[in-house]
Amino acid sequence: MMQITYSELLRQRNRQIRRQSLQIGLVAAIILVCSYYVGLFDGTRLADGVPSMGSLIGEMIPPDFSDARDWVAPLMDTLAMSVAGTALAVLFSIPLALLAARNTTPHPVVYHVARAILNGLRSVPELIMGIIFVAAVGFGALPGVLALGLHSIGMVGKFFAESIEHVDEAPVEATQAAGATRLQVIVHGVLPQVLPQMADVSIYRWEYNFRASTVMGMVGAGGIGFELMGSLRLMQYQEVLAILLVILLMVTAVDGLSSLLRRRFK
Amino acid sequence: MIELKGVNVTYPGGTRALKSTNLRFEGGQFVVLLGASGAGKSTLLRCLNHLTPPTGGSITVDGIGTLQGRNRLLTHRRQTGMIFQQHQLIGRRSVLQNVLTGRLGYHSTLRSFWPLSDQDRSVALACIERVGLLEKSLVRVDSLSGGQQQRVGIARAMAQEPRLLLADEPVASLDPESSHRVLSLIRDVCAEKRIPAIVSLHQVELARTFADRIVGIAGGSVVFDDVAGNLSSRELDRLYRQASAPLPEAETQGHTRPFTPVVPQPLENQI
Repeated sequence: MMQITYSELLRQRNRQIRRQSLQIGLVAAIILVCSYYVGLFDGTRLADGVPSMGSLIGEMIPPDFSDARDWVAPLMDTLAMSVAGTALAVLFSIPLALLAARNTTPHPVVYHVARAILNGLRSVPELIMGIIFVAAVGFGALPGVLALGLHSIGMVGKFFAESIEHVDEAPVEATQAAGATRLQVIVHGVLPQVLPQMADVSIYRWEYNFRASTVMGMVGAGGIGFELMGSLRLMQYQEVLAILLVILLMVTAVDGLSSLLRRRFK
Repeated sequence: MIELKGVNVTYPGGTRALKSTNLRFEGGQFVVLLGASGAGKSTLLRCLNHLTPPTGGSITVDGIGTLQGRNRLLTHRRQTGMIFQQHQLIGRRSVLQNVLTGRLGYHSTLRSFWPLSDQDRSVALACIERVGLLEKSLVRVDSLSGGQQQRVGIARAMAQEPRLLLADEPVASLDPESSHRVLSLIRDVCAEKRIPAIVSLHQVELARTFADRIVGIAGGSVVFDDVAGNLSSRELDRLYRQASAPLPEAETQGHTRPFTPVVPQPLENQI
């Protein structure tokens, strides 16, 4: 073995430092170009916007809660939509994820098809799905649930599949050694291991779906977003602020509940 | 009971892990597969229930025949308990839940979606009691010590009500005292049920203490096969020669290295 000297080690370290600085510089350049491209450096336009922002905010204050009673039902809609949509997504994600995980898929072709379905569902925004489902089944909470559920499968299924792929193979092998069939191995060797991750993803998705379902109302798919759009169209900005505050309160509550649930599922 | 004819294993990379092997295992024996790491003990053991499918040759089991076809293999696996080096339990499940996986082979896929019957649970609990962990039945496995986890592994294998027990280096990650306890337990439960145990080990002393019969393996071939008492030091030498040859060099690393060029600074130990 050749002996390595201090100076050679230091030379190598300096080369590493030079390479790292180059990489940091490159990333910074990309960020600057993108920011310029979208107009973030257009100072006059930004400065002009400040007064109109100010007057808009002025019109919002104080928040007007006089119609608050009418928001209870839409809020319940929103909550129910998020729960039902997430449940729908989880239900369909489990079988899809098993097909889309390299270690549980029955065939490589099935694997690629399942992955393609997940990617497809993920790439159609839920708002677009909402518009489609409103056209299909009419206004209300139902198109909202379908849109949220279908779009969520794309992400939930992908995360499920990834946690299935990272499962510890050792207990799986032990289950095989006991004479279990393929499906028994999956149900008793694989799924118990990924249950905490699945619960984690599902609860996080529920939280996300609650936020997303506030927007679904904008396309007529039910919930508090419908009220928000109404107030915006009538330019009742004090009511808009009131609704936004109520949503903020609900999101905070859902967030707290979800982190509580996730801790329990460790 | 179980017979191997010309069984051999070549791994996808081209490594010949097991050369053509003929062996026969009979009821009631405690057989130790003895050899250095990488000698092919695990490969041979894992062949016996096709966790590593043999590349060639045939394995015949009494009452089943050759292990061809899915159904025969599943039946054979159900009848064959296996104990692993790293326990291979699901850490976040309870002792009982882990042991119950040993009962899966007795039920259809559809039936096993629902909780198993009290009868199956009683079998599992009896096995847990036998390994002395009854009061831990509902405790998560990852809260147990290494020796206790290995006992859960034994209980899971026993819950299959096996006709044959395989154990792949069951004490490799345990301290000497736990090793003795675990091996005694395996020997005793197999004697009670009058089933053969095939256990791979690399510790000569443990093999001498526990084995009725020792099958010595070196370089992928059986080089010794006799009752434990006949294992002479000359046989042992042959068994470990190939493996021990490169050892002295590795062991003396860091003490004296006569072949390193002499360099003024003692840099070597700092890097």
